[in-house]
Amino acid sequence: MEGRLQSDPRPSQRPPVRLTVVAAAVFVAALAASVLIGANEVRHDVAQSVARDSKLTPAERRHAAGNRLGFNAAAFDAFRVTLQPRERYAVDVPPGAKGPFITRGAVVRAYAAFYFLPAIQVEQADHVFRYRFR
Amino acid sequence: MRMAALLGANALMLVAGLGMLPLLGIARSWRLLVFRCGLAYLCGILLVGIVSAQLALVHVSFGWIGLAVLAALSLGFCAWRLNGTERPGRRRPNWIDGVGFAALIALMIDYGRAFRVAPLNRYDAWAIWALKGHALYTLGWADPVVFAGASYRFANLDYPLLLPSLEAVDFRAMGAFDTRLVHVQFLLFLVAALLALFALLRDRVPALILWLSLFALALAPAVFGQLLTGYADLPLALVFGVGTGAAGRWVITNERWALALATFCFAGTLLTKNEGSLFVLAVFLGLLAAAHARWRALAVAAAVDVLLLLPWRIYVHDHNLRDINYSLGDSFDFEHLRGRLGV
Repeated sequence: MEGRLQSDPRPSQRPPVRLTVVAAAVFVAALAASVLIGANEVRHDVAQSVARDSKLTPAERRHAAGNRLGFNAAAFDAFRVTLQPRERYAVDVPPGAKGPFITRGAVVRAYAAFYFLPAIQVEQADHVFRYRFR
Repeated sequence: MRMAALLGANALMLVAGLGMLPLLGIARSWRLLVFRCGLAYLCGILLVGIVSAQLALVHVSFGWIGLAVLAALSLGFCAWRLNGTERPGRRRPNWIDGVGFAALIALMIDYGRAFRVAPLNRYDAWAIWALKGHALYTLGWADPVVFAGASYRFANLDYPLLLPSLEAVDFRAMGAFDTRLVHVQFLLFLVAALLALFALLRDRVPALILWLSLFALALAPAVFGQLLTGYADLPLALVFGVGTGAAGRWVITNERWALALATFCFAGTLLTKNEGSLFVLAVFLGLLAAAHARWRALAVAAAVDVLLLLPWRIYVHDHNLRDINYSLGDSFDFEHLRGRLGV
């Protein structure tokens, strides 16, 4: 078999794996069932996603991540308009509650880094974004 | 307009991928190019991802001009390499393939309705991948001020740049950091992988079983849900899956092009996420066990993958970037595994 099909796409005379008729039927039935079950479930997922997400306003979309985290979007927007591209800024935020991986304060820093790009977050700067949890 | 730009950029990736087929030995004639053209799109996405990720390290941004140059070079190479080779003959269309493609197009259009309105609100999607894609787009390269910045350590800075680079190419093509349409690129990853699997296996697997398998994958709720998050896990799995399929074909048939394709996909895997290193290492060990007599070919394949990963590893080393979540050694650390598995 080695080298047999170096560049020939035509089907081989004998398949490399042979199944009995019963095994092949079970395999095809399992695949078909998987397709049907998946299609039924994913149809609802698609409809749900479209119904939920197509209603988002531009502002909700812009702050989708922050809203999901329960952050005050206005505070981020107010600071963002004061920033220039590549300007250095720092973040002053209390550590806050500990989440499954990091603290809420760390999440605010991460969201600020994302939301304020192309301004650059650094550890110390004159321009400081202050955020307090409600 | 932005959607048209995104699709236009992907069309150029497809054209760029066509040139990869003769280069990798997948198509040695026009007939084979047509027969295996389903591999072109995934190869094009990986080519653009790998090239733009490498260029991002040396202060070169990759956008429309890069895409056009790559596509033109690819077409030129394709025409030159296949000049005078066998032309595709007339084939009677297979009705199962016809039905399969029609259903696949309908499914992708349906999925597209969800992907084109999805918000960017999942943590890893914005904190790692889109943040880096946005930084590459606005700063023009992997500027250490962000990509090695202490304040950005949360963004897994040692993770390679294939996916963010691809997102940055899309943002440049669209002319904006569009957090909505970027999701469509993830859907296009699925399209590319399904076409690639079809082209890879169509002469080895009966059409009915092949199409049922492809639809089992495309319709898996976890595939839809995970792709919609904008995480890199599904793109990684899809690229790795095609690579593993190609590697399996190489073991059975010893076709060199199959190993070349696997090597290319594994390079894409390595440059997508650090976790890819464990998967690729495992496959190479498996291949060595299954085809140890062909160790020289495997050594060359592994060397090519290491070579393509090397520029990123040098960047990581130069900027002293540390992994905060994962390293290959963790996979062999009992305490780490116990913690992750909650045992």
